Amino acid sequence: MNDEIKVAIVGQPNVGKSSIINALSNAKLHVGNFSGVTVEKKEVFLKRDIFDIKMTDLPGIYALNAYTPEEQVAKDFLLNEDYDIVVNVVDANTLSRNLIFTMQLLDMHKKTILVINMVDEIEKKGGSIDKSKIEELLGIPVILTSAKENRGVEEIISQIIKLHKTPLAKNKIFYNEKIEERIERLAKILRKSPHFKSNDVSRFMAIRLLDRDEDVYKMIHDLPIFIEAHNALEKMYKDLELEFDEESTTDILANERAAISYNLQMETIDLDEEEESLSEKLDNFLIHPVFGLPIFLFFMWTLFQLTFVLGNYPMNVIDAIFSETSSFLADFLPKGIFNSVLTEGVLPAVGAIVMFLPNILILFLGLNLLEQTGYMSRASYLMDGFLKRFGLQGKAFVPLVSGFGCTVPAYMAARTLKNPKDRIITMLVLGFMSCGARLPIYVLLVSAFFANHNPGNMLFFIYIGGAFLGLIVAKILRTVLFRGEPEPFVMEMPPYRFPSFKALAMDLWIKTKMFLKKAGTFIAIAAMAIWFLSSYPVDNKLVQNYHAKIEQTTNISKKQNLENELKAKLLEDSYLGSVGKFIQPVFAPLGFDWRLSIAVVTGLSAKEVVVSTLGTLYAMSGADETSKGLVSKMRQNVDFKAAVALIIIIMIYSPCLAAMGTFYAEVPQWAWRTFYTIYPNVVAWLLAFGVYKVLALMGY
Amino acid sequence: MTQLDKLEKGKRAIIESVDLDRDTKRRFSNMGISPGVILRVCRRTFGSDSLHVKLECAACVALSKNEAKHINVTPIGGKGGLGLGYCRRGGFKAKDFCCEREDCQLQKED
Ligand SMILES: Nc1nc2c(ncn2[C@@H]2O[C@H](COP(=O)(O)OP(=O)(O)O)[C@@H](O)[C@H]2O)c(=O)[nH]1
Repeated sequence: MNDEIKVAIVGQPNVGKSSIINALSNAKLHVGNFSGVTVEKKEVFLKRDIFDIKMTDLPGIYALNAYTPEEQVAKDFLLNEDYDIVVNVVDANTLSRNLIFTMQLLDMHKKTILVINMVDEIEKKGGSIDKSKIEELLGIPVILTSAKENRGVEEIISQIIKLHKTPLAKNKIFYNEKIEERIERLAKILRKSPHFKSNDVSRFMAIRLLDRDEDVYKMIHDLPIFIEAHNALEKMYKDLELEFDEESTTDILANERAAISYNLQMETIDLDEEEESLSEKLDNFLIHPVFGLPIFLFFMWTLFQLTFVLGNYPMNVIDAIFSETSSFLADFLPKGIFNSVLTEGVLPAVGAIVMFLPNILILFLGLNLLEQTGYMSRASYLMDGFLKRFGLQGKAFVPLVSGFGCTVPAYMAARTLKNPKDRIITMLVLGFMSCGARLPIYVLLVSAFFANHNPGNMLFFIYIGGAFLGLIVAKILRTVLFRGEPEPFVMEMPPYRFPSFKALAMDLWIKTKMFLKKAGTFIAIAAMAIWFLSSYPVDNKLVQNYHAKIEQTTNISKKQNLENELKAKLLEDSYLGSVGKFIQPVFAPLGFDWRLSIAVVTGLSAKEVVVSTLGTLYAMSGADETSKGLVSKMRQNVDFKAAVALIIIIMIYSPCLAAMGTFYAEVPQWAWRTFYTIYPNVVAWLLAFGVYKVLALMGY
Repeated sequence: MTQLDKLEKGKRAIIESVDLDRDTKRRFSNMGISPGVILRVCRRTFGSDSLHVKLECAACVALSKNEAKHINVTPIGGKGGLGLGYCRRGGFKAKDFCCEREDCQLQKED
């Protein structure tokens, strides 16, 4: 049996934790969720010598006084979970601020390793870090790393093993005597309770209490020592605040830690005075007070142009491969159910989705680039003033833009908003940000109905239009349901960094795998179901009638017409046809036939299914030799007004089941869940209807 | 002493006090905005709704004007980059900051 070492990796956001984890060799990565919440949990498993090392990557956290729900997850883990070693990753560039958090971690008095990352950037500026001095001052092992250059990363593992074998070293961080005296007095009271018997735990809890940590306060609330501890604490607050002339003991401790970290940085980092950095030069241009916003819009516009233009080439190839394979197999395989399921059901459906993989990858790549280079937080800053006008704040921008990729992680990203009102508003309008899975539908409809416009522009317009609608809804929600100011906006702006190609490639690879897996399983099954429902029951009499008629005619094109008529009739009488006709009245005012109606409804399971359903339904009905691809079939069968109405429905109505599940997981109140489930569909229908009528009046 | 939102662009200042509610104040302090810290305003967005400031620890932070109004700062003379850095802090009020270096140009105001 191997010895297991449990490691918690913590650090402030953007210090390079993920990069370090990616750089570890022979590591098995497992991505899941923290129990009960939808915050992503990355676990890494490693084997070295006789040790099984399990590392848990905690969400970025600025300090133990957690502020956002996401930080709370990290804090809860640190306070309550079982682990042997803390690996604290810090950014060498902002060492003093990072060390303030390190100081809080050291209060726990657990085995801790300090990993100072991004040393390459310090070296580039001609600076150096005195590692042994930091070790001496803090009393813990320090490792200098550059995840970018893959330096020092393996040393973390050997240090973990080494530290595991050695006993816990003495604590070296002490506060001002006046504070220490109180800590000791309070700890003594806490030790009377069996929960806080150990000296380390009672000291840590005492410090947290003096820091006015509400979570810890709740912990002692139901214990017999509470009254005594509470009274002592109240007096200490008062006395210390008076002695230090500060408003709160939190400030006193913060000042203490700041002073220690600041001096520590001064003693150990040798850095020349900085000139205007590259980031600042870039910022002068990219977040210019006047030009910043247009530049941002230009980036987004370029992204959608690229999505369409570059994505188009592989799209046509993939489309051709699938339709050729389909017709080849249709002739090659013996006729029968299997043949039909495969060539009329599964292949057209899966093909209809896979052909959009390139577009989706380009979109994700673009969004990833924005994030990785550090531009995303600039964009948040630029948008803060603008978003305020709609009752949101700059930080809501990151979830909103992630919504263009996938709504599920975007809901999770809303956890960086502290204020529950801000979070709910943001989440309620997130569906207006069209996700990557809706892209295929737009591409299809734009190609079919806006062929003589620039398709990239149309896509940009659809995405930005959706986003703008979302903002208007946010404003309405803020005025009607959630009065009050958005939470204060404060956000880190990390320096611009060159993106890591490995990280980008990894991410795209994971996305591709997940996408193909989904297309191969969920969507293939859905396609089979749709095929089955649209192929049965078969009215044999009708078939016989038509076959007789077909036999009698000699004209080839008439034969073909009759055959198509038969197919269309059979489809209409199928189970799916009946369901479609049943729901069609709802969509009739928007000009949808039963096929579009079905496609919209199946889209509630996953947006990709809309296109695959259309693929199957139009492949089965009325195929003639002039309309091979889905695009031209749509053009023949759907009128322009209905197509525009469809775009609007897709843009606004409920997102997929996975996204809805995530929303339910994030928002416990049934009132909001119900509202969320109904209102987008109502808004979508009303708006689509309005636009349909206006277009009709304009003579389309 | 002046308010951070009124500080001219490019000018450096030392934070004297942060008069915000406890939660927000704590957040700002965790992100590096607390009394004793030297900062410089890099720019503002359109409509001057938010500011982009650079802190002496080299971190850049964006914050909105609503909050900047409640951060009191004392401008420091001299131009150029940050990192004078020998002004001691912690346990002192900004006006007591003593500088060990001759080139520290903290303007003491009362
Ligand atoms: N120059 C440099 N950049 C790094 C290093 N480690 C990470 N980065 C970059 O810093 C950014 C944030 O890194 P990430 O791993 O996402 O940080 P996390 O938020 O802590 O997980 C990315 O753009 C990385 O490419 C490093 O050692 N040196």
